[in-house]
Amino acid sequence: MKKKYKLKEITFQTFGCIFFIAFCILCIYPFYYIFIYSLSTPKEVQIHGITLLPLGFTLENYITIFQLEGILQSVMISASRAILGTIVTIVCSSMIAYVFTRQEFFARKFFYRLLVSALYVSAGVIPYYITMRAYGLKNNYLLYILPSAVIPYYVILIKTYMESISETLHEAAFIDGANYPTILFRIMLPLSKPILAAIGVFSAVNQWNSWYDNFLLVTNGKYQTLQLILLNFLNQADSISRQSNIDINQMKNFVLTPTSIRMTITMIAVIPVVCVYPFLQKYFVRGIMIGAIKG
Amino acid sequence: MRLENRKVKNNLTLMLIALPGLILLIAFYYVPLLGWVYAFFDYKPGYNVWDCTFVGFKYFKAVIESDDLVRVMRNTFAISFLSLLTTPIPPLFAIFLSEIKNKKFQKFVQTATTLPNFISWIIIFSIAFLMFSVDGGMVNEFLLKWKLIDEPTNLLANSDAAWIFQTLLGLWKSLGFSAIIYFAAITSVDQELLDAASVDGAGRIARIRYITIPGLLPTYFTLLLISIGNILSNGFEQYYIFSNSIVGKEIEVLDVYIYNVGFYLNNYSLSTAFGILKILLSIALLFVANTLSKKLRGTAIL
Amino acid sequence: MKRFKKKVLALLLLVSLLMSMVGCSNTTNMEEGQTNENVSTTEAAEASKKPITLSIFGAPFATNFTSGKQDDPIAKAIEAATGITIDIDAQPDQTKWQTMLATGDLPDIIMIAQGSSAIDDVKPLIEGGLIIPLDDLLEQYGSDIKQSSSKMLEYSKKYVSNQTDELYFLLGFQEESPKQFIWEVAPNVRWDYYAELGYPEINSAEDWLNVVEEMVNAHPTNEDGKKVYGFSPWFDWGLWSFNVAGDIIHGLEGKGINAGFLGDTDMVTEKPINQGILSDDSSIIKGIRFFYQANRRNLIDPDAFQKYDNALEKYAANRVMSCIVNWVYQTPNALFQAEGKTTSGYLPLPVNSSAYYMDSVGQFGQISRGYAISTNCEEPERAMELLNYIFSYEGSRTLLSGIAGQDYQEIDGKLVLNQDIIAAQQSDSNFSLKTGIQKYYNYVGLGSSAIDPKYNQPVNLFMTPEAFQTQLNGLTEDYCNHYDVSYPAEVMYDRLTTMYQDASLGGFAPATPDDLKEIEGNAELYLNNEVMRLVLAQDDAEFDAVLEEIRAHLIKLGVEKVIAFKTQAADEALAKRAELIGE
Repeated sequence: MKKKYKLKEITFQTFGCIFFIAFCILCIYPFYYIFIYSLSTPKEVQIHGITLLPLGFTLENYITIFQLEGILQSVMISASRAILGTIVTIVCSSMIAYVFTRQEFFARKFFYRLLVSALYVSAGVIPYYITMRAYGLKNNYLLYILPSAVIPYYVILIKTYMESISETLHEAAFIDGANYPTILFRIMLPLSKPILAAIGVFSAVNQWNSWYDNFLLVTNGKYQTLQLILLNFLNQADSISRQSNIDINQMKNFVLTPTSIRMTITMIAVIPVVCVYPFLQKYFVRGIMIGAIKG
Repeated sequence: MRLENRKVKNNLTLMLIALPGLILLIAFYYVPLLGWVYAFFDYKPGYNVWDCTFVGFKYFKAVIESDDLVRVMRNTFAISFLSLLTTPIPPLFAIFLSEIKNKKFQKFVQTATTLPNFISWIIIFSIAFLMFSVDGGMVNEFLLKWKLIDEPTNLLANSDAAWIFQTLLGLWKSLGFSAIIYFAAITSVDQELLDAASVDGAGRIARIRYITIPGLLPTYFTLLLISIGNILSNGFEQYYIFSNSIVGKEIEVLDVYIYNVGFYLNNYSLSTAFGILKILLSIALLFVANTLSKKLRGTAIL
Repeated sequence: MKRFKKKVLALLLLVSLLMSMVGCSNTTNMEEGQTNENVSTTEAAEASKKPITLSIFGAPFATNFTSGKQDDPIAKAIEAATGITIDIDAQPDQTKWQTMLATGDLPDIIMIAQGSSAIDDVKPLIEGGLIIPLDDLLEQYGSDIKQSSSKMLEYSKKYVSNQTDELYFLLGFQEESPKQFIWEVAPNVRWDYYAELGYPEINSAEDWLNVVEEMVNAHPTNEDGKKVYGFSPWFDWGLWSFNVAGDIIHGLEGKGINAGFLGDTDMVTEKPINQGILSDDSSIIKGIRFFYQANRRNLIDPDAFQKYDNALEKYAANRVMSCIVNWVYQTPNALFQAEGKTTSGYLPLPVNSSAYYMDSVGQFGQISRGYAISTNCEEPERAMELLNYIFSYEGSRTLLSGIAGQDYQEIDGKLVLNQDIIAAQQSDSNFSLKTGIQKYYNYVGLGSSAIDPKYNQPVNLFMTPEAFQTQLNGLTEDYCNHYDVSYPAEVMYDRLTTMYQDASLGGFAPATPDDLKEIEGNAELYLNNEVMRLVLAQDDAEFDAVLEEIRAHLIKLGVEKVIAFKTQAADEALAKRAELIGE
């Protein structure tokens, strides 16, 4: 019986590993391709193509990007909005999520429905512009932080997760004389670290890759985001192709950005995840709950 | 008396805690909706909207009466339906991975599989072109070399396979990243219960079936209901970028159609009307799904 | 509590980091600014004017730079001449423009330049009180404008003023006869292979297809051994490829046509001569048929139905024999020269027609380069001074050719560009960013070929035959020798008597009513979706059947009304123009 069990286990583990390795290759190879493309000489690779190794190893793509006007400042802005924005988002979203878990809250149903409906709501470019301007967020750094402070999707996730935390914990805390804010900050948040970590990843990635708010509302050179600078660098050929009245004489003056630069830009977009995610993964490990219940 | 006071006091505290969030929610999601008024006028940017001619439901009618709408909605529903079919895959993936013993391997797979999520659709298209193009695409070269096919396939311009192809692409891109939520949720499954069950002789499948999966169900259903509300919003980029003169008609989903109409007709009021109808329909879908869920499962997310 | 303190500390650290970033904002700008001290000495005296900054939103740019205050050498020259620093949006966009119109949030100076709707912006801007009338300002501060642009001013007052007869817009890019080094739209083929075949005559679509087929058969692979195709067109720019191909074919057949899917315009009579897709001899039908036949002959790259970018890669890899435009061949042409294969490359073949579309020219300026001063501008007098500079010969010349005494010299009463500048423009892809020359190409008051009466030379010194001759390389020299000209485009200029489309007709024409615009928009949307069925038809019978179907549907949509309107509008426009010129 034991032997059979062990065999089953080994088969399972092996089969599992093979499956995951195969899938990982499927995920990693395209990314690897982008990586070696970004390290290849643009003209060569455009003509000959590559498979496993870069062609004519060169750092010129990265150098071109780093020499773009305003790039360093924009890295600071994007990084800071990723960090600050995420903190604000996590705090605000979890506060309101917590309130939604409390059955005794009188307007719970109404406000929660309001929140969920907001998932699907978008007002369109012009109203968005007018509203942000009316709030004084035009050319204002807070534009990057405030509108994303409460994101319905995150709130729903946090609420769902918090509801899986045993109610007895709550009751015990009440008996001990704690009030809502204390419970929220001392108990619920620490116990919700896994979902908060997940949301931290989502939010940081979103903030790092955001550019539309910048595009529409921020013309001040100090507050440009990294993605916008990169995207502007890319978009010449794309934006031309979207005009219905293409003027040929316009076309030939445009310098066409090689695919190499696109690939390099992708590498830059991925940086926060590859750097940050491994640190947050420890929260996705079982065992956090054990301490809580016993304590 | 004292109890009631306490109740009021509690509610007040809760309201205070929720207040910042509620204000932000209303300020940034609902206040801009005042812009819906544009759909009821013959609005042209540059004029004050109240000075424009009031046209009532003219543009809403135009939306419903548009020729292409049937085809576009068919595309949208088909692709969304296929997407919904793939929703159980991330949680199963997460569960399966969590059963692998080696923690380091787990972490590696977790990180590696999120990579596709960061590749923008434009690049994914470049890579897809590299893989699937007729002339020199890796897949075709491989298949031809090993004599598995005689003529190269043109997957990117195959209108029959378009829906499935796009769904698989979407799955590849989002699997690892969506699984993150389930990795987090799995940690909330009571470890003691699992240990107890295995001591009692429950095999792996039994443990997963009776403990882990039920633990993940609330998250899964919540996300499923949200996805149902999102049926109409497949997303713009993927379908715009993969659109070409041959498969364009099959993968023109609502978001792309709205963009195209906006581009060729340059009518802001019409685009707004489209947007409004889409939003109202999405919310309606959500509430219907919610009610169904209540009836069938007993719980609902609202 | 300890953890809480830690969190607060971390937060404070971040906030201070943020503050410091925001504080030391202009490091990059300042570094770059300080190195640009090359101000013309003769104009330094005028810099005693109070320095201000004016914000501008206008036409798109060909290069990428950061929005904000500009400090390239040309911007500095403008500052020296007028005391004004320009703060410009480097990525002007239709969406941004609409939001600005909606909120009245216009910068100091605007240019109506977004796509094909420039003329539509005139009415709301004037009626909405968003821009100011310029008559008085012109009198006081616009002396150079009056000198250089009298025709434009008259046109603008009468036709671009929403019937108020006041001056609101200053239309830029005025010129009469622009010349290029090499032109783009033509049957472009591999020149050395064409020579191999003995320079066969190409006088029809059939000829073109035959020649390309022969070339492909003679050279089926490129140097890497990869397969070569006849054509690799891209169809994600809407109907553009078909229209252009059709115009080329018309040219081969000896006619000068400017395509329109609902009616081509004859270059000579300037009137619509057919009903576009509904007629059998229109450019769009010829273009569609052309690609259909190329497809039947297997000359088209099977991946051509993807995107422009993918097509570009094929061209760059030297794998496509022919194209309807020439710019796609920049990479292989440059590579051949570098490798020493100096007579290899791709060039446009001339057409045997006396009329052909080479450019759209605004003798009264282009409406889509129409400047206006917004009511938000606090210093309209200075704004007018800036515009005065832009519309002066010196100003436009500075924007297009560089700084006097530095980039070009006066020699014997003629202005001559420095050799190193000409060479740099050819070789350096960042030329306009570094020198600022032609960075603001779309913003000039006077177009490249506008003649400065003082020197009797065009304001764009790069576009003179003399400058062209210095740009020849092995390939283009061989080409010029064969056709006995001094620069490639001269072949066409020698043959053509009609080559420019008058951009001003747009202002004379009556505004298209909304319902007709809607019909046209829907028709274009429909046609875009259906046109590939024609290209991919398996035989003539299928082609004709599908065409019937498409035409029937378009008629049902109501395009005949649009066509009728366009014909009538063209007549009106021509009559009005005759009036204006006759005066």
